[in-house]
Amino acid sequence: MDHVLKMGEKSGRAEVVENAAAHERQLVRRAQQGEVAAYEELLAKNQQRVFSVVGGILRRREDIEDVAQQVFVKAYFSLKRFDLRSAFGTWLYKIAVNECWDYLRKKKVRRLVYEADMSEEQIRQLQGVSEQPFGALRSPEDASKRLEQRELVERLLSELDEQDQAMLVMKEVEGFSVEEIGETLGINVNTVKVRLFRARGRLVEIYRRRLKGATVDSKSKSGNP
Amino acid sequence: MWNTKKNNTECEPYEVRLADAVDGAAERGQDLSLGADLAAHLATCANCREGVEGAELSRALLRWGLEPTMGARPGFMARVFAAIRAEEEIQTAQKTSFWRPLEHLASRVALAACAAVMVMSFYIYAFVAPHATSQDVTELVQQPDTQQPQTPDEVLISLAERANVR
Repeated sequence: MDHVLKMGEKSGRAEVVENAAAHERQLVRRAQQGEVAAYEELLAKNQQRVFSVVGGILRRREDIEDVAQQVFVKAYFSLKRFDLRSAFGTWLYKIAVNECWDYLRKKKVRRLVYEADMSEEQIRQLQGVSEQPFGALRSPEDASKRLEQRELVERLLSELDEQDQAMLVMKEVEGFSVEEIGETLGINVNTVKVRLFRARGRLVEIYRRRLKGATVDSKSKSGNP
Repeated sequence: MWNTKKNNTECEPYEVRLADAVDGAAERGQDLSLGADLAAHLATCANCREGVEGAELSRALLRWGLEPTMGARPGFMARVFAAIRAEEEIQTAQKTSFWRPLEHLASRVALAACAAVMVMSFYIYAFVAPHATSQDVTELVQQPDTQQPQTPDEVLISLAERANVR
């Protein structure tokens, strides 16, 4: 009886997914015929996800809004060429990823990284991450403190390859699954898993190296052996 | 550096499974449990061991420093559609511009002129221009100069001869 119920639940869910996909296809066709309201509905449905994709790669609020706007404008003018072979969202996220890489290439935003440029307070903060049990970390209420934490993590991330940075942030912060990351970035799922696994290891290695470098530096500044 | 410790391709099949195990444990909120072969690989591979040990710390680090991207601020959609309308206006203006047919014609004329120049150059090179062979050049060089009058007498004689010829 339980088994039959579960089967029914599964087929019910599949039906809902199929209906949603059919509705989306219908919206795309209407938008392709020039119906602005249909395009508006498509955007409203995918807006948050596009922001997450762009945010995973760029991470600066002002950059994110600018690029997201470009994505939606570009998608509008390319919509007639969209052949519905993939989901509208997948197509849109690919445009978003390409726009982000273009944006980074144009701006050449790759900040310089210094080995021992952290204050003692920052070292203490970073040390706190590894000392606290997982899950016990909370974002402080203080906005300036949050900004400082963000800057510290971005400094560590900036030493990784741009695509690895995007994958890590999409997975750990924005909540994408490895399948979604693979589809969005156009990479095989197993490659995503391997790259994520290695990128995590590298991030921790950078974290430990910088922590060690900063500790040695602050000791030598204070005259301690 | 991370990559130099062990051959990455050798670890790849283990890395996929280790990544699954690490993510699975994190999602379920359980301790990591590994099969015998994975545990045996971890015992011999420092890279993978660091990867597993670092997974939790990297996750904690990223969530400590970064927050999920917030949605659009109010008025974002209006800005998007304003940008679309502006772009449409530019495209329409380009299509209906007074100079557009002229620009089109000019580009065609330029293209036709280029083609004509190429055809004419080929024709002149292949059929019209005399091709001097090396033999012709040698003969030209070796031709003796016509004798020039050397003294004032010879000049007068040559002038008289020319007058007689006329």
